[in-house]
Amino acid sequence: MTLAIHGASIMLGGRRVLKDISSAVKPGEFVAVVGPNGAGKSTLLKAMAGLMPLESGHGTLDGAALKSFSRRHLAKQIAYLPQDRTVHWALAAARVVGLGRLPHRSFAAGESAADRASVAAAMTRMDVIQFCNRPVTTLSGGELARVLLARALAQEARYLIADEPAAGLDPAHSLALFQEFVRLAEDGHAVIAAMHDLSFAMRFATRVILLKDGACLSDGLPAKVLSRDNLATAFAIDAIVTMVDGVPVVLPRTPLKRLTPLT
Amino acid sequence: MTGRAEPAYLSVVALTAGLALAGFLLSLWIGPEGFGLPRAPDAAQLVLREIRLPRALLGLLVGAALGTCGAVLQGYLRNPLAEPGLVGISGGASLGAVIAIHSGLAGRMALALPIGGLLGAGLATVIIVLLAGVSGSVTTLILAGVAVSSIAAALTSLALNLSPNPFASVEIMVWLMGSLTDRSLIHVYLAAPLILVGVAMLLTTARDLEALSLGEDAAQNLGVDPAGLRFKVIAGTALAVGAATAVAGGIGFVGLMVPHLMRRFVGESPGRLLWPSLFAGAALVLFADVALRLAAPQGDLRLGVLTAVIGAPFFLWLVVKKRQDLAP
Repeated sequence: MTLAIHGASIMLGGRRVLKDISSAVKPGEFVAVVGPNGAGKSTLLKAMAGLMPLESGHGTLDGAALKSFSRRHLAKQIAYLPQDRTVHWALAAARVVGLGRLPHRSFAAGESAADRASVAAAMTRMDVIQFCNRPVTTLSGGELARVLLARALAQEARYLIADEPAAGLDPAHSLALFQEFVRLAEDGHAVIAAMHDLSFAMRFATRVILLKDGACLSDGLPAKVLSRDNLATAFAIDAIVTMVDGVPVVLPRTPLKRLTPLT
Repeated sequence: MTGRAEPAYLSVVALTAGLALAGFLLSLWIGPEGFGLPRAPDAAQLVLREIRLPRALLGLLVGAALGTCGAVLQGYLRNPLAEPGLVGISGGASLGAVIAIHSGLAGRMALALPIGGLLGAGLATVIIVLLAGVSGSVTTLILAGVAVSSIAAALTSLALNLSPNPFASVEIMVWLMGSLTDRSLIHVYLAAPLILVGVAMLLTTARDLEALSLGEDAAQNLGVDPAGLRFKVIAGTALAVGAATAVAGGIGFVGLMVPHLMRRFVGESPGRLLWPSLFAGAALVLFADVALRLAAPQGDLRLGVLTAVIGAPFFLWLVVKKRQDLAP
């Protein structure tokens, strides 16, 4: 069982945002995708979720081309959480989470008891069960982020692809989120998450993919990928990589060059 | 604004369906002489079959088409201001019917008018699809719709401008106002199959519209096929609204108002909005048609004018309410 892309290249607005990337993710892995802004993290995630036409290369799920599956089938295998957190109507939180059950419901069928149980479980895990009947428009950014995560969990797919899921979450909820990802991986799921917190990537991920300018700079164990040299190349920072009380810490110290002139 | 209790979905559907049924029966029961039917059984039967039944059936069908289509378009475009006229199909239907009047064909053959409307709607749909593509973005669909509406409106004005005689221009203007008066069962036979198929197609989009509340990428991830959905929305609108406009003329604001009125009763869910909007659309058109027969028994008041007169203040109320909701 593998979700993979092989030699994927993608052009967006005349710019090559992904350059010949190959990667395979197996259940049991929590893969952190890191890289500077515009490195192609979101594009890579969308490509792996089968949501982007590739200019060259192809994606596969268990050896068969992603394109050969129906959208409905893919929806049961891959849950994708976009970076954009817009919910267009003032839906109740429980109904938003319930959208994750759509792929499991037969046409025109209502919510089954299993659907409701799954929604409640996902909401409990993301600590949003108390918002059940609240319109999502009345939630804070971080609360909404957790509701949307619960939607992705309720989808109960083997692969969870999340684009910056921790952005806007308070420290307690970010910790809880990554612990949830670790637990999912241990349960036989695979989690692929784009993220900016390098310490959390080092600490929780089983593997890190480091992107720069649409290409894969390094791919492997967190300690190997998030080295001072790699961080200098990818992010143009001098970083402190150390352990504090047994917890790995990656702390940017100084930029190596001014990123944009301040004139 | 916190969790307002939401009524059970089935009771909302049942209630709106009851309203539509009441409007339908009332529409059968009312005539130029007020409520009731002629005494003589023969005359009563004739009046019912030839005059009131077509009118009530068309009110039901046209209202259902406009309500459903408005709800689908608002969900699909994720814009509460979307309405059936936005995509240009009703503009095309109007133009087709106006050309039928202008050319004098409508004078020679009664059915030329609705058939012209259908051809106009079909042509507008083809142009919109060519402009916007089968799988383009939502924005290109709106732009194509606005372009086609503008062209249709310009050509309609031209036809009015160049109309051969004052009678023709009056006829065109009166038709453009939208009405259910003096329609026969033949109009029903012509429009009903198209409207029913169109509305059925629109109703099948409910699930996809639900998923679309989370944006296009998340919707695709939840199993929505964007090209298939777009096809159902455009074809359904073309059939339902094209046919409705072809037989009844332009009846504005129904497709805009009804989804707004119903949205709060279904917890804003764009998929659950469809059936209540179908019935509420039918109820609104039927009651408006009854009201104008009561207010102006001579038939001077046109249905499209009445819905616009109700609709515009409603729109103002919407603006005020929106402002209150946004205020802290």
